[in-house]
Amino acid sequence: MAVSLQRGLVLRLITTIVVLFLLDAVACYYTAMHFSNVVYDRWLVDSARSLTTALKVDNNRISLDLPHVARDIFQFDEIDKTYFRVSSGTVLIAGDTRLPQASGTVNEQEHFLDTDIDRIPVRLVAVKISRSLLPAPVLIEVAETLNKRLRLRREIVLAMVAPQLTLIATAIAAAWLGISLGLKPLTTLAEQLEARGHDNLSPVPEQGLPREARVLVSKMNGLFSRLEHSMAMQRRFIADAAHQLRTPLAAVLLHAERAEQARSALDREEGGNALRSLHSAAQRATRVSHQLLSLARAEPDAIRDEDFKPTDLVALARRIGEEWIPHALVQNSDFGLAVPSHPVIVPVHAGLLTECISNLIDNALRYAGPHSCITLSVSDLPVPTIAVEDNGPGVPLQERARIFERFYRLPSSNVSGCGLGLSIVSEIAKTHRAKVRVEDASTGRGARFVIAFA
Amino acid sequence: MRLLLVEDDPDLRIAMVNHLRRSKFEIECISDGQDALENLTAREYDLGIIDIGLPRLDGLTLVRSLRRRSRGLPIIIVTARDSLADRIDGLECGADDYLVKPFEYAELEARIRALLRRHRADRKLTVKIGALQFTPGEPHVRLNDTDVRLPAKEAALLEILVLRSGKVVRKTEIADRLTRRGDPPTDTAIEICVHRLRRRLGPHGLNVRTLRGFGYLLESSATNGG
Repeated sequence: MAVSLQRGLVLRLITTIVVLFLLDAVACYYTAMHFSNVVYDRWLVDSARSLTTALKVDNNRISLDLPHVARDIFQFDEIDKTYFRVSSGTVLIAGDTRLPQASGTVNEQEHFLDTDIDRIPVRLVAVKISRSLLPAPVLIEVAETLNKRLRLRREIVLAMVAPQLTLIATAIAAAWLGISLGLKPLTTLAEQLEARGHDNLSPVPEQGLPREARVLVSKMNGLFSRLEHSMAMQRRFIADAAHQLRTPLAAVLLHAERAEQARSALDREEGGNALRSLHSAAQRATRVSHQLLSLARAEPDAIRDEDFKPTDLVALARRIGEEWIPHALVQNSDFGLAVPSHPVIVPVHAGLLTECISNLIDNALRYAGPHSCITLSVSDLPVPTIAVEDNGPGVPLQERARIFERFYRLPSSNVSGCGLGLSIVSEIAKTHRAKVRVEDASTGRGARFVIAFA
Repeated sequence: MRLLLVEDDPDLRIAMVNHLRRSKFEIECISDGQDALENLTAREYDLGIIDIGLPRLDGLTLVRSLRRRSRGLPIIIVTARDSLADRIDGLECGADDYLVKPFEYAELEARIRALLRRHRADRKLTVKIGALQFTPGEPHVRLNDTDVRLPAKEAALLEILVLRSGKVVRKTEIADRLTRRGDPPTDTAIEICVHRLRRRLGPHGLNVRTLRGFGYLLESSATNGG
């Protein structure tokens, strides 16, 4: 199977879900970050403000009265490390000098900053305190490492993502199962088709199939029936063809045996006769094989539209006729060409039409016999036509409808043939959407075959 | 006349060789394309008959390589493939004629002789048709060992008939050939010219045959001479 419908559907579904999930995870992370900051920033501000209670003013000098125990409590945390600094203007009152300077103007509001101390990322809050008791505004800065925040974020993200992952897995499994159940009729169908013999072209039952599959199956059944029909035609044709070839070949065998025996018995005349019969039987087999090939070439499947090209019927007829001149001369027939002096252009398949006209000329030469008069003509009034006329025995009215059938032969005829020539003519005319007809020759005696292009 | 036959099917080869020997051709056979190529470059032949389906080197390739080496050798291709495309391929690769299997020996022989005559005429060598000996460019022809001087128009007509011997010559081709010396001739003028030539050749067993609508063809009632 080149493309799995099921895999394709599930893959598309998974892709969509995964993309959505990733977007959701990003959103989730930022939400977690926001809330962890809201919570811990509050604490940080509280810590900063709690330091203001330890501010003392003595002779206009501000100091921080923070006992060691209190300082330890302030800075103690199992998880995070806390730094602080209290300053007024450029004067450091207490705390850590490693804290980075908060940039910009700091007012009564809390000012937050993400920065780092000794390359460890911290969250810093700066609060400016100005009270009537204080001789100058005091800047309190408190910074804290991020461990607690990160942990909280991780926990929030995990809490949100884990159920989602489960949900996704369930959805994919459900989709896989659902699709495979939905496609079940198709796989059953495939198994049925695979189990068939190579020549079983009977229709596939349509009941029990979902509507979508039924359309496919009904089209397939249509194709099967057409295939069945064309295969039956093909089989019949091959059987007929083998039969047609078998007859002249049987004659070849018999005459060859006769000739061999005659030679050993020194019967010259008998031998000569046998060889002549052998020759004509071989000629017949040759002709049949050639015609069978032509017939195969005239099959609609073997013809491509681009092989049809605008062609001058006058030039084509002249070329085909010239090929037949030696044959006409051998039997002393008067073979002529009658064409207008201007070209007659029609889109044709030159190879096939050559075959078609050749068959008509061949027939005329054979049926009209030695010393006959045969004319190949082209005309363009009222429609472009090519015609072959002879002065032979002609075709009786009641036979005219049947002579174009495959393997049909005139009952009265004693000319050897296999009844394929005219069916080739008719098939080729059909591929050109041309009409072929037989009528009395213009002189009254003989046949005239006309191919009229419409 | 030395011919080379390149054919790998032994039955067909034996039959062809027997026929060709009876027609007094000197004939050599090779069953393989590669050998044929080596042989043909080493020795001189007057004509090659080559099958397309050959072992080692196929016929079309063989003809192509031969055409590159010696342009002059006339070649007839013999093959079982007969679609239009195959024929076109065969002639485009440089062969002079194309014969489809199965064929009758008479047809092969007629084509060999026509090709040899055309080839000789092309090289301005004397061509023999029955009692006629014709050398292109010479002012006279030999009829039954007598030199005959032909008027210019008849000589030109005879030349084109001989060059195309065995094949029909269209009236328009004759008109083209005769126009070179002045105005294009009328149909009647061509017919008169043909009539005169016919009267001159008739007693020697040669005929200029009229084929209605097609044109003219030179034929000899005697057996064709190589």
